[in-house]
Amino acid sequence: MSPMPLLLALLVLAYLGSLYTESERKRSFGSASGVEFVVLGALLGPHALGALNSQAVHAFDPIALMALGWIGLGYGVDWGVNGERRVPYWRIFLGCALTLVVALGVGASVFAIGSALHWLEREELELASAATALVSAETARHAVRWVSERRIVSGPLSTLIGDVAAADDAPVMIGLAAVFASYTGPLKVAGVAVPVWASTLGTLGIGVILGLVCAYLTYRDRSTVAAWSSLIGCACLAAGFTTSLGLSAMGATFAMGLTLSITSPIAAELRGKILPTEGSLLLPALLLAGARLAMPGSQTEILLLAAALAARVLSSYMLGAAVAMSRKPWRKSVPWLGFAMTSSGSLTMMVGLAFSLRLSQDIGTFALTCAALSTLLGELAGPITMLRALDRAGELHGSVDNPGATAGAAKATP
Amino acid sequence: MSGGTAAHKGVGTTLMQALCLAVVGGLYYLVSHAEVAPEASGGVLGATGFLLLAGMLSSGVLEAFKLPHLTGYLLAGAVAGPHVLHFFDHGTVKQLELVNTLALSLIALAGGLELRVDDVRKVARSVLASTVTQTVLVFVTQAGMFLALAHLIPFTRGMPTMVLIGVSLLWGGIAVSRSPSATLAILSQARSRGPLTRFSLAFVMSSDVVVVVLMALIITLARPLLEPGAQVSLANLKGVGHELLGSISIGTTMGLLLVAYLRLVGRQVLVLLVTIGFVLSDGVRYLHFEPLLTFLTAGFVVQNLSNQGDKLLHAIEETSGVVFVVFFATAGAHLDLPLLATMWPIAVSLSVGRFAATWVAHRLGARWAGESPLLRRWGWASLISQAGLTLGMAVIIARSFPAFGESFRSLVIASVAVNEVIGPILFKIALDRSGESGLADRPGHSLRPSPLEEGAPGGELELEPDPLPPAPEEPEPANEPDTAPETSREPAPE
Repeated sequence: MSPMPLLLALLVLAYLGSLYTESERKRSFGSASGVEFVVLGALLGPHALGALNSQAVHAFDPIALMALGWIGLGYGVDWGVNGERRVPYWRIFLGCALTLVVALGVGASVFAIGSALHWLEREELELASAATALVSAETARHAVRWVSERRIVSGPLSTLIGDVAAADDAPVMIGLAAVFASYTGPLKVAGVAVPVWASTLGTLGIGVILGLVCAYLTYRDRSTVAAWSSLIGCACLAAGFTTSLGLSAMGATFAMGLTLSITSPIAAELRGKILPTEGSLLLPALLLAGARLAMPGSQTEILLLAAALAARVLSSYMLGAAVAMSRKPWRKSVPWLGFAMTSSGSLTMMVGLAFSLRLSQDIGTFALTCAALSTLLGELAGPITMLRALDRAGELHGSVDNPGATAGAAKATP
Repeated sequence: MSGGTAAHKGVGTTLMQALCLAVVGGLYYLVSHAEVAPEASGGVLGATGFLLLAGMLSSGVLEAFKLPHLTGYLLAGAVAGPHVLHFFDHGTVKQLELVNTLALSLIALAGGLELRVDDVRKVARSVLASTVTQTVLVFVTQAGMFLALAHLIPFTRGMPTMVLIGVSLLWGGIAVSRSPSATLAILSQARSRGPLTRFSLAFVMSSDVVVVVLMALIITLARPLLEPGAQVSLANLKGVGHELLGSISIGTTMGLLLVAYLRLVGRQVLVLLVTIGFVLSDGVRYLHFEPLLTFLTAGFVVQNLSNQGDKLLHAIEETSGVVFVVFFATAGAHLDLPLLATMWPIAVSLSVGRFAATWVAHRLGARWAGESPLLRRWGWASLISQAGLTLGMAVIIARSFPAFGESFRSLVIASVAVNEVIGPILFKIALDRSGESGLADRPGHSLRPSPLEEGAPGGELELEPDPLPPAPEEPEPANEPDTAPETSREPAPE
């Protein structure tokens, strides 16, 4: 099959995606994570209906790479920001800590069971465990968004969850940079050997330098054209540099976005330009990610996937329950908040896609499959339980469309 | 990236831009000299980003020397490209040509949108007169000059006279072509409005059609001279007729669909433009129609058969700014400098001859049409640039006449390199000197015929404030981001 129909499909999805994220309040359709597009991709892909063959899918790898870079930039520029407000430091710390706990739980489980079952060589197993950990680490961002798009939500619990969700990307992105650097091994740049730890820092360093350049250029000349030229130019450069070196494009563009967010006096304006474009790239990327999915190759892989999901659910549940227990008014929401924390979304899928594009096929596909299952599971459990948890905590105040409706109506939805 | 009317930037800004350029270039140097895993890719992405940033920064630095932005884009591409710093190779440059598809469709669409029937009527006489004089004089003199210099051109030495005449005819046809993209890019940067702008747009866009027909005619007539045994065949002309009519039909349909979309939906025009640019260009080419003419027609239809023209034009200007930088920087990377180094005496001689013929033809045409002194003085300046269209025709000739086609194409590339660098600079100077630069950004002013336009010698185009509404203070140029209003910074797709 020629890549042209796929290009058309991707452009249509880009169009839909741009409508999808046109306004923060407007999106009242579709799942929180966009997992339906992953499923669509999987159905159309080479391992199901075969409407898209592997060659056509791989022809779009550069576009997937660009999408990942741009989405990484979006995460960076929005990191630590909840709505218009910067998240307090201790909540940033909390968000990062929660992410690390979940990641460590999942990674350790996969490593332990994989070792016991002699799944892969030790180095590969470490890599697979780290990749699985990173695709499982995201917390409740999309569930929060899903609820806030449908209900009027306010209160300390929803603010805390929103803050934590806004701050949980950084460990994943740094981890991504480290895993890519480790997979690539020591580099030689201009005759100088660069160890893995320096490559990891280099990934982020490239992003920081280009973020500073971009911050200067966008501030110096505020025309729309200059802003887009600078943003696209720097993002492409960061993604291109790192990919050429075998490093993580998402890690670099995340660092670039974060630098922009911190150093640019017009960060809010830039955020307003970048974030609405996320949908245009996200939906095509989700479709491509779905098309790259494959059924697990062996019973061992199925077992490991089950173990990873179980570890994720368990660790997320315990963390959610711990948060709910920390204050008396929230205790009623203990069971629901635990499950609500299992929600994951586009970050999970994008990290999975990044691994699938870079790592060896076994490990990359395993990580992507784990990401897809985690997203699907989170989608089934996360938004509904989040709605319940906030309802129990008394923080739902009616529907967005009908502000006068009582909170109790929430129980009937979705 | 401010418009052409921007005042001088501070030395500090220029130095900072040069520093940013050095940082980005340094990073690229390090990365391009790293030993990387063989499976690693990303060269195209990096090259795109680099050309975009380097083009933008170079144009900013060159602005201090009053050079057009386009020159900065070309320079960035040429220096970073495979012939000088080798930041990326020919394969990467080839892959970047994808951007050309989008750029050319946007250029043609914008060109059609700029052609308002009322405006075209005003310059119809001038355009007609210039088209006739330019086509005849440039064609004849360039063909003659090529014939005269043939003994100095390596690939024509020893050719029989009849073959030589055939090749000279082809060269004459190539010389008649112009660059709509360069003209539009300069007009966009300069934010110009006025008779010179109108004339340049109308002429360059209509010359596209003329050149397509002329080249088909020349190839048909020259073939018996170039290939012994070949006969004049009207098949080529029939093909051209099919191509022209088909392109106009599809363009009209596309234009009407665009009008319907803009009226009924009117949102996400940017995504729509990208879709149109990539998908429809390929579709039109697949049907053997001319994409440039198709999009030109579509733009013309939207502008003149609906009230959606300005909306679409604004959307294109916002999109095309970024695309233009990559497009021209890629064109710069394509410039074959080693080839130019070997062929420069011939290329420069032919370019100088073309310049002289263009100037004389323009003076004759302007006198014939009874043109205003302003147009008489500066109208030729937009006719020097050559770029994609010319190179495209050289490719067609190379395919049609393999015996000498590749060498012929090399000479065209060398000649285009000269015209592509000089042309935009001359046109920018003409717009600045004629006083048309920046007029598109001045809502409180309208164009009135100045004494110069009405035939009085001496002065330049004058601006008079409209009685209603009162003309606002002209905004400060975009050097002080804290104070200048947003509208003054919006303009310029570069």
